[in-house]
Amino acid sequence: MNSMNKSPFLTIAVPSGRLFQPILDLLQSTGYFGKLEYNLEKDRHLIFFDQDRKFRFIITKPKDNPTYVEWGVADIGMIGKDILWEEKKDVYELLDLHLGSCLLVLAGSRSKEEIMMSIERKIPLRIATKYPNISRNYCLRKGIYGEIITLFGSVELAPQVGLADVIIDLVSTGKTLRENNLKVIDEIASSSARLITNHISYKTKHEQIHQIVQVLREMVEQKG
Amino acid sequence: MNIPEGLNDLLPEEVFKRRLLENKISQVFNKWGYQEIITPTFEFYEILSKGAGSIMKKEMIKFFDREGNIIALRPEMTTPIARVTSTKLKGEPKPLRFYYISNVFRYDDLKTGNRKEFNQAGVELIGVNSKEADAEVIALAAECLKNSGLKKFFIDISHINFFNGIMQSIKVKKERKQEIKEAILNKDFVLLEKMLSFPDIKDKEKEFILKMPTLRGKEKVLEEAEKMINNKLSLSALKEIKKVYNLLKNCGLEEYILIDLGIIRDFDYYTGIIFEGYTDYLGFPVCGGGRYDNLCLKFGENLPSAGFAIGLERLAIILEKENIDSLKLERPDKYLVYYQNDKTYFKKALVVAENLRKKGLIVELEIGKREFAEVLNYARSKGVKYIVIVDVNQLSKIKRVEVVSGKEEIINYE
Repeated sequence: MNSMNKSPFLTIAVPSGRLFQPILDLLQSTGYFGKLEYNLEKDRHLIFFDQDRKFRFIITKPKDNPTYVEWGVADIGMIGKDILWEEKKDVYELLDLHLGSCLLVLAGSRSKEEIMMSIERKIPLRIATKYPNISRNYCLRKGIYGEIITLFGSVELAPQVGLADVIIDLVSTGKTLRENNLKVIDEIASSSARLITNHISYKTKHEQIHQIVQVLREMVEQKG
Repeated sequence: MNIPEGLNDLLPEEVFKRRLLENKISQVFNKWGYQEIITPTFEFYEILSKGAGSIMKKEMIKFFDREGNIIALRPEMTTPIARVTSTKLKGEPKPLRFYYISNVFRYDDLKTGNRKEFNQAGVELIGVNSKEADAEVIALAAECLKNSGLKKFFIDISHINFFNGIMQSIKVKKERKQEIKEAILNKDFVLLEKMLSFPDIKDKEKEFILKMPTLRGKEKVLEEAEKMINNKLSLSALKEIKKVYNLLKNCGLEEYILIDLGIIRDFDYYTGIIFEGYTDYLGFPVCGGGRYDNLCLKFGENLPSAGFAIGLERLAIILEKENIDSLKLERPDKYLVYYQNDKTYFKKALVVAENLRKKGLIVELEIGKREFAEVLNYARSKGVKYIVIVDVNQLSKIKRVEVVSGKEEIINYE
């Protein structure tokens, strides 16, 4: 086991990847934090501070974000709901940041009717996905006889080369699906970035965390 | 040569620290009149599952015995102790005060870093339902943490019926209620807010449920909550919390105790006061417990009870973070008795070793027939402080070499 950070700073875990810049912009727009300067393309260090040096930021792989928060080495984190569904970590989910909204869908290259037919006939459906847990639950809920193939990325490739019949993946604009000749068969859930916190940090650093939730909530509501 | 994932070998240095910690805690248990109890490492799954919620049932490590019965490794100690008390100790005068220091087993308990075997020290106070009993158990938990050397920690208290009362009082359809409850248990306040946005819930109730996780602090929290609710169950829960809190204040524990009406505990057997202890140093609670009045009933006896368990691995981590030295005890000096390979010297070496041990020192006898230079290297690596050399027959005097400095002196070994 590891220990909680005992720095005087509140530590905030920000995921690298597509949510990074929108999250930084949102934080900056609240005016609550000092200037945040980090260039995901150029900078290689994984820890940085706001200019007022009141907050410490750590950059995590998206999937790892809730792990840092669950262990309390980060007090709060910001991460897509899809990851929270998939990873099932013991964290408090406090606020929907309405960032990076996207849909979790079942998609395939064959027509919807064809695939629904094979689902009804209980023909095993091979599903390529980065989300094995979500996929398993989805199959259970829908009574789909599914066989799950876990991939780490570019799952759109799988149906085209015959690795899988369908994919379960996140879609934001639908461009990638279209370019790979995939059609949405079912919308499973909608996902967006969430503010999460560690159970104990929420007690020991309550004032600070509560304030951050308030300023972010105002900002998010302003944006509508 | 590997061992199954999630298990650990504990090497001497670690064992030494662990036993020290266990002793510090069991000292307190003993002084408070609690007696140690040992139950089997594995039992029938059917029995252990009486105290387990659905998650715990999944986490139990199970196998079959020769007759095909399902056996499980104990995932916690409260249920086995409830079984013993309700069966073998049926007629005993109450209250019974038991403590245990024991390993428990769970599959993939993410909160312990995938550890499948871990250690708990805890108590069960059986046969009494009173605020005084609740307060005793909480005060004892605080004493144990204090005596372990921990300087700064908090114990947050709440009452299971506070939440239950609120859930009962909101007037929505059964399925909706279940969904709301699950959102709270999953600590998903985003979903909860969405669920509460439907018009079938009164604004006042909605506001209060969303406020619940922030209701934490001293007595003021109780007043604040009292103003906002009007169901009997929650109100009586608040009264109980207040009484226990005041008792704990009388124990002089005010600085350690807070009220947190947002506590959600994941055991199904709690029926009254619940609490959890934590520090700035770890993202998980270090101890947790509460009142469970119905568990013994499942074994045929009506015995209201309360108890708690401290996670020893977690406590050890916190202690190391808070104060590196708190688990270092002054150990007696370690000696090594070295003698030339000769029968008469051997006899004398035995006498020397025996005399030094009587003085309370730790003494190893050289048994490898090694050269002195080799023995010196060995002694260095083992933290031996002195080597005594038995070579000539001086009466009660003997040559002693300090391993680190090489300094030699003649000492009296008798």
